[in-house]
Amino acid sequence: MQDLKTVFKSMYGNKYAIQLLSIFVFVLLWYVFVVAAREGILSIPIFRLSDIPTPYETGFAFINSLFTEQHGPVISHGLIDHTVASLTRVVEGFLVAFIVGVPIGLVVGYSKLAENVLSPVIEIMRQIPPMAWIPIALFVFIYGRVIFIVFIGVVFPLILNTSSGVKSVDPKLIESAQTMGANKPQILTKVIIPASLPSILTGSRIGLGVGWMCIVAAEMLADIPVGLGYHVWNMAYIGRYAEMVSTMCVIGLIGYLMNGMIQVTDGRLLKWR
Amino acid sequence: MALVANNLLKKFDDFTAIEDASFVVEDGEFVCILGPSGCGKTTLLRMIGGLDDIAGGEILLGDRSVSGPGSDRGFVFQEYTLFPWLNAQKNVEFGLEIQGVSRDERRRIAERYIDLVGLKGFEDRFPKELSGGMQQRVAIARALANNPEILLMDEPFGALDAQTRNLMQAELLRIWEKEHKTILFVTHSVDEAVFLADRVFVLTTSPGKIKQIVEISAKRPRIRTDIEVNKIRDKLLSLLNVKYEESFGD
Repeated sequence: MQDLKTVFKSMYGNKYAIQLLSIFVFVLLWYVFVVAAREGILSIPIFRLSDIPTPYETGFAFINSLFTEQHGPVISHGLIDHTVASLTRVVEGFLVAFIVGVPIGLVVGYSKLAENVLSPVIEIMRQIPPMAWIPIALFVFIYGRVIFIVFIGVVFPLILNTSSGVKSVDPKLIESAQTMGANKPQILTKVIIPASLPSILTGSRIGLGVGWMCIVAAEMLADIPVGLGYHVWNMAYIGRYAEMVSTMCVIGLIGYLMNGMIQVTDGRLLKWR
Repeated sequence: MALVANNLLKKFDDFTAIEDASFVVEDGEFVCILGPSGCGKTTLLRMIGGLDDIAGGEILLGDRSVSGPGSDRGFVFQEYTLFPWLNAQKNVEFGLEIQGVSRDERRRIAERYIDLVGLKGFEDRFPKELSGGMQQRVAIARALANNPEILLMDEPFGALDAQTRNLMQAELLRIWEKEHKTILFVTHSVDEAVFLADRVFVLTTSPGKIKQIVEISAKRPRIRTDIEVNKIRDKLLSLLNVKYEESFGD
């Protein structure tokens, strides 16, 4: 008992240990509840807890469905393939949104005229949820339907964060540059863009998060044979719930990792803050 | 190079901020513009710096009329205006980079001015890692690195604590004597003007006008409590209409 106490004491203050413990406890509770439901010890009236796969079953399904298999003419894609497909689409959609959104955000933030011209359209369009664009994407686009949905999800947070970043650039910094002889293009590239970089990165992080949510939903509806969203739905459809839940876990983990990666990038690029 | 202002006028709608401002700042001279807050002294300096447009009159630098900001007039602001994403070295190099000066040349010039303001060894620090006084030293180096004809300073030590402020005043005089730059320095502090200036332009409030030009011939380094210095301080205070009864309130 004394040993356990010292273990807890040394963990206190070690945030990684606490975070790992938190995940462990969550998985343990998941296991206990499902098993208790299946044994008839626990029953919740409106909730069929016993139908949920246990963590063990989920992990087993995860390992078993990692790789693509071919049975005669039938190809069943593995989780790795689904993940690569979804990630590729998100990265493509994100890049297009970045190339389009950052310049629009810069212009809207910099020029009052551009703001008056563009912001009503942007403000109305951004209220339309990315999911609501799926039907139109399905019949208008021949290629890149899902990428388009990701684009919609990413581009608005990126435009808004970039433009608010530009607007909050300290005017005194611009004046300083002017007194050193900087012209307008130089003020843009050497003052406004570096000063707005934190906001652009925040927009990227939010956008990537939204984009990742969009991809899963879009793949569910767009009827493409590979992708994590498609896989979740397909596994549910054929009643393989353990595979379904393991795919959900993969979606969550990858979103978490992407967010972490951008935070690391932020820290590297913004060490002056 | 001498700076000449002829009948400068500045209006904000109906309000006349600056009227009939005419003066000459001689080459290599240190001039303070002194006035109460709200008298338009900062506006006057910004007009000369090209940051505020002028409603009338003319500004000559040497024999050349100037309008709009330019690297021939270095500007040091009251606020900390270093680029926070650039280290001290890169901040000082900023203007040179804008002018297309080569990398080696930039580095050489920046090092010289960082050394001049006493910050050797701090080249790699970002502004957030520097104290207020150090940031203003870098700002002075940054303005000087562009080799301006005149240095315009808008209460550059206003945000510093009293000790640092006194130290920076002495440092500025040392730099000025070494570089032989013309300096036009805005302040609301009589003590600061008396310590620094060859001549003081005393401004009145609304409209901002030059009420009187006071010459300070006291030798440098000036002792802040010297009798001669105190006489000038009294004269400036009376010009500013500072009455002791008033400063104690009603």
